[in-house]
Amino acid sequence: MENYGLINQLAQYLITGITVGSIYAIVGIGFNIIYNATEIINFAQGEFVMLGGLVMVTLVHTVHLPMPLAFLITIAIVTLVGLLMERLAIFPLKETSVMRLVIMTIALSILIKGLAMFVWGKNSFALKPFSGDTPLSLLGASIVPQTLWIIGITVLLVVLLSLFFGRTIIGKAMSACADNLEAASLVGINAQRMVMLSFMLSAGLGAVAGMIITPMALMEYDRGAMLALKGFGACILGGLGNFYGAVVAGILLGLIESYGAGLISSGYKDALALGALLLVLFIKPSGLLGSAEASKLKKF
Amino acid sequence: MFQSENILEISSLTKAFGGLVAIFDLDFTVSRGIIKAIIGPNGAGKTTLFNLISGVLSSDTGDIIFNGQPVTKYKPHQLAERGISRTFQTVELFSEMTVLQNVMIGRHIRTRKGVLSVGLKLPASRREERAIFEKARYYLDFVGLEEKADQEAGNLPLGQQKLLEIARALATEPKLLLLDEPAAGLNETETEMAAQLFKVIRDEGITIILVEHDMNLVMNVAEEVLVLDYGRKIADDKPEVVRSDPEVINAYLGVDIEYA
Amino acid sequence: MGRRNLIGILFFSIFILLFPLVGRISAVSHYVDIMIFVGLTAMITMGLSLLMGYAGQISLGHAAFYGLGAYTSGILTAKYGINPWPALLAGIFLSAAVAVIVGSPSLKLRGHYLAMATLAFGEIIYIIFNETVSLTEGPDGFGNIPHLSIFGFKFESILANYYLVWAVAIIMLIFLLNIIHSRVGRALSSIHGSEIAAMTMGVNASRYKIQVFVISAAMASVAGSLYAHYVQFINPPVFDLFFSIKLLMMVIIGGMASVWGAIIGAALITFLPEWLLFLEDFDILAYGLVLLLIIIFLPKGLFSLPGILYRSVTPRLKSRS
Repeated sequence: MENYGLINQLAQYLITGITVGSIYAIVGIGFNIIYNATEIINFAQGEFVMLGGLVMVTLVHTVHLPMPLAFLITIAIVTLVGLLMERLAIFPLKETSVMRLVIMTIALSILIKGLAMFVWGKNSFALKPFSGDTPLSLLGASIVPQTLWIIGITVLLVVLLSLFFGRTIIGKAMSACADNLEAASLVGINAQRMVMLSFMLSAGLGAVAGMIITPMALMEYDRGAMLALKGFGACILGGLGNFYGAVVAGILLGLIESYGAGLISSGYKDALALGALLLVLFIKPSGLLGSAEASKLKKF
Repeated sequence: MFQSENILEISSLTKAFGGLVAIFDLDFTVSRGIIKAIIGPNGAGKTTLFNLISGVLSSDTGDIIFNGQPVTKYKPHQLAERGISRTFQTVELFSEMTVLQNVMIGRHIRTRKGVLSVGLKLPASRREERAIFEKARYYLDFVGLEEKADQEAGNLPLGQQKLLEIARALATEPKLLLLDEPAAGLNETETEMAAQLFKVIRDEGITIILVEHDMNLVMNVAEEVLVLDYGRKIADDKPEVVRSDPEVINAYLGVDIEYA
Repeated sequence: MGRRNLIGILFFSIFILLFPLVGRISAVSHYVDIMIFVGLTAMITMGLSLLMGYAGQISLGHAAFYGLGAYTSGILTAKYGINPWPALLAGIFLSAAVAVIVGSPSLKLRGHYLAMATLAFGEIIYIIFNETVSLTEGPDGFGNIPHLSIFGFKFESILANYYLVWAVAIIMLIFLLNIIHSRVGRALSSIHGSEIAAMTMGVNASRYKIQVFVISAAMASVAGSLYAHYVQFINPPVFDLFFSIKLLMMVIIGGMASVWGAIIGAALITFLPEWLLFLEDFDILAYGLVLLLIIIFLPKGLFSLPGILYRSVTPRLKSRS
């Protein structure tokens, strides 16, 4: 009986880990998209997630829009924020040092956080789950349906993004910019537009992450930094710029965190995940799944 | 101490960028204490070769032996320490620093004091700083730029920028000096003075390898000439032999190399 | 370090010496106390400006080094009764060691890995301050930290602490100016001028970046120890991410490549809440906005403003004459 309980719990941690890890994976992909187009680490990445969650809360619980509609409108709003950010703050700096751009994204993250506090205050907000909260039972672990939404939507996003980058003209153009900006400009790809698109895409992704996690984990104005850190962890662990690497690493990070919280101490769960990030930076900075040669070429 | 006769020995050196082979299976040696010129049409791989010798790029295959010691995979700062210094085709000065400060950077590899010592201004670091200052002045004087010491390097005319690069390179006390098109953009008098300067440097015992398009200058100063074409050696001999080599003339598309 | 800096230090020292006279004006008498915090903060921002302006690296973890100094001093003195001076040294060594561990792998890479590594490190330290309750008393913090004393003189009054903090800060200022005007400072500047030329001149960039990072961490640790002994009470919120961001902001506002600017930035941002009390919690909005505007319009910081104004006025004067 005792044993059964333990296995049960381990299964529970596994599912929690994969769920949380999915979110980190999406944020990590968001980092990669902007990084590939611009070589900057966007410190405001986590704010997209926070905005996604809070905008959704308002649309669903205050405006009383139906969930699917609210979902689409939230994506549109946060994507617009991404667009404005690029047009008003990144684009005007034009050709400048990466350092100045990185600092700009830090400034933007403070500003967005401040605006969010202005609009929503300091409270945490709950969002009703997408399809009820009667737990299902699987492998002896009980699963709230939202978990399935999170994992399902993450899988869907990964498939859609692979199709986008592999099959569509715009997606291919963005990949080309990531490979070689100059060459891409020479064959007539508008690199400026690609940077703009990368911010929009990345913002939209962040919004989705925020909306699907909020029913499980609530959302408040200052959650962005920690989400960004974990997402960046996924991004580095998976090898900077490596799309699938971020997914695997994000889930790995989620697992470390959930098993760490369950088996060691919940107070240290963030410290454990971040410790893993530091450890990778020390031991294999090109990422667990990245190649050393590729990371030497990265300039950011 | 044993000193090999050749300061530099290069064997089967190859470097490709993607599909483009910049240097292919190159062998050559440079004797100690001479001026050797490397010539060849644009894109022959001359600057790539300099980047390989100075460690800015690392070769795909092949060996570089400098001063009797294999240095193939060495980093630029290790090579600088062992005595290889260079200038650049597109002048690479620290343009926001003064002329004198540029040469002072050249002393970096020959000085030792660390952060704590310089921060606390310990007597030893004061002495070192004074020595850096004086040596830098000496090399500035050597190339005739002493009056420009306090100007911003980026404000000098091109000819003087090239001289400043040479002074900075000399300040590292090299055994081998790589000069990448030092006369490009210079007028006739300046070129003549540069030629004199190169001979003086050689007479001080510093071996010079010179990449240059100005054939008059090459024929005037070089004791040996290596001719590259598409990353391969097509001639390596005394200047008067090279200038009449049919393959060399062919590489320059039949143009008389004296005016190429 | 050049005549201009020497004169600067002279005038600045006189200013610092005389500043406590404002204590006589009752409306601003508490400015002396605030100036202590300016001095403590300036110790951190000066080191950061060397890191950002010369080594070209961003740190988002300096609040944690400040905290490491404060907690090392606080715990060793208040809980183990150790003399404050060796405790302060222990803090320096701990911070320097941690800086080597965090800095050396990320600084050997090109790019801004250090920013994220320090951000993660800062969060971890913050969590440790909150969670190791047996040592740190967790979120409640702890008090009873003794004042510093030397040869029987106890740094108890505001004025005594003011002069102590600023004496240390000015020594650090001189130390950093010495570094900037030395082979190390030149080597760091050369990397900005031409990386390829710096390489072939034998400048080993990553080594100096690490050294600068370690020094800046040690300076933050000293500031933390002095803070603990002055305030006599420490708790985690003082050392959170937002303080790291404020430090970054001070450096950028002052002008990244200027230690003088770093002092000005520290003064402005430390006094700002004094003047922006009406904003209450929304000061974060003001900070974000100020930072944004500075990056767009004054990338070299406020310290570059006089030069810019001068240059924009002189052509007009010349054309008039």
